[in-house]
Amino acid sequence: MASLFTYKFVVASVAIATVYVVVTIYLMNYSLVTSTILGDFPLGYKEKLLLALLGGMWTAMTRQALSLLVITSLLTGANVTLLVSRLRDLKNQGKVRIVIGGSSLLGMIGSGCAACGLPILALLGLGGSVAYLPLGGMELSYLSALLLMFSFFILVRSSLNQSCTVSPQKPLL
Amino acid sequence: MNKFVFEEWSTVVQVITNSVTAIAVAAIAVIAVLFWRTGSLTVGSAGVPTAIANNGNTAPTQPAPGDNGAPVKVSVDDDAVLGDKNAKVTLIDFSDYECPFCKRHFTDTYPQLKKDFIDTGKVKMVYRDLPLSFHQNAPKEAQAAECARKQGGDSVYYKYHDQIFTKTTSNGTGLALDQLPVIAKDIGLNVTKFQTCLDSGETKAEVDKDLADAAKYGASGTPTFFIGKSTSTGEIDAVKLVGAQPYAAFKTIIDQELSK
Repeated sequence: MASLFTYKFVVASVAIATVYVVVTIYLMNYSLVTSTILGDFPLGYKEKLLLALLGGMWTAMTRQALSLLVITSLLTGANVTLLVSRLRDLKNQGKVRIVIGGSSLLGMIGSGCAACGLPILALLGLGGSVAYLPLGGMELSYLSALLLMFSFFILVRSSLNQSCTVSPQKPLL
Repeated sequence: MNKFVFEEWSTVVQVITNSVTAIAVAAIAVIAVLFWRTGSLTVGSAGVPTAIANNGNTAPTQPAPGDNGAPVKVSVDDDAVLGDKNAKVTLIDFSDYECPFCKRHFTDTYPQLKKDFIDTGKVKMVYRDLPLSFHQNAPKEAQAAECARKQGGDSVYYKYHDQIFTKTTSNGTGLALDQLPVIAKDIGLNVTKFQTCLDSGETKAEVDKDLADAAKYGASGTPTFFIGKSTSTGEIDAVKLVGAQPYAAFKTIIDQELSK
């Protein structure tokens, strides 16, 4: 287990988690972020506005939503890092597998509920519908966190279980 | 061609889990397309409104303007103005009296904005209604504020506005509807006239107009702010800012608009 959670693993996971959080925060104001980055504005303005919007994670999200976002992002970071290292191992062994990831996307969609009406979901035209759920759409974040935890567990198990074992029921000779 | 080798049960489970999630996301996308095309969805018989796209507004769904990053043309309409009517910059606030993030904006950011920009004559604020359909009391509260305005003009409107946000605990029924005339009395309005206005629904059209305009401008959640240089027509080329953003975000945009 210790060989799995190395310094490299932690750094890569935290880096991916940070990108995940930043993208999720900016998704709420993606048109403003895009126009600020691409527009003809002074560099100081771009820097100030982008930093200020990042600060929105404290004011534009509930504590529950922010906690879930952090959990989901860390789990996504850990999952992606493990998945990449597992795929690398498989590549070295000459085996190819395709794994379809959807829980991270679900997490990002559900996490961005930082205003009434759920703008991230509204991008898909789902803002109003999810708001009628008992937790106002937070269900998606819980679901994604659960799926990511499950996926992480499976990946850890799969990564650790790489040595050949001898079944006690089967005699060697 | 790729060769699929499933040598461990865990990998099979992993692929199934992720595939199920992917299918769920695909299903969401399909529903989204349905929303996009029809503008409505029947949610069942639990008393939930059937037309819920556009926050209950049944107008056809349009692609949100400004989502490509270009400024959005937004009108102040004939809504209540706070501050100097000739201020260089206009801030239009599409808000919902029962939205917790709108209340958070009111308590955390609005006082500083008012002190630094509105009271100094640099910015005028226009509050426009976007009562979301899942916030039960919000439409009536919006109408009540408009009734207050009918009696006392814009300044009274904002007194009433401040009282609602101060008193509501938000989330749909944070302020009991029987408190609306109490607030009217507290700020010195004629309660009988106020109640008649509220009961007759004479300000409903005004609120509905704001709701329709919000959809037109791409305001799909609350609070949504539009900030831009004031014009004589009342229609501004605005930057769209979504959510209860910190004071620094408003200040940066306003300073930029003031420097133009």
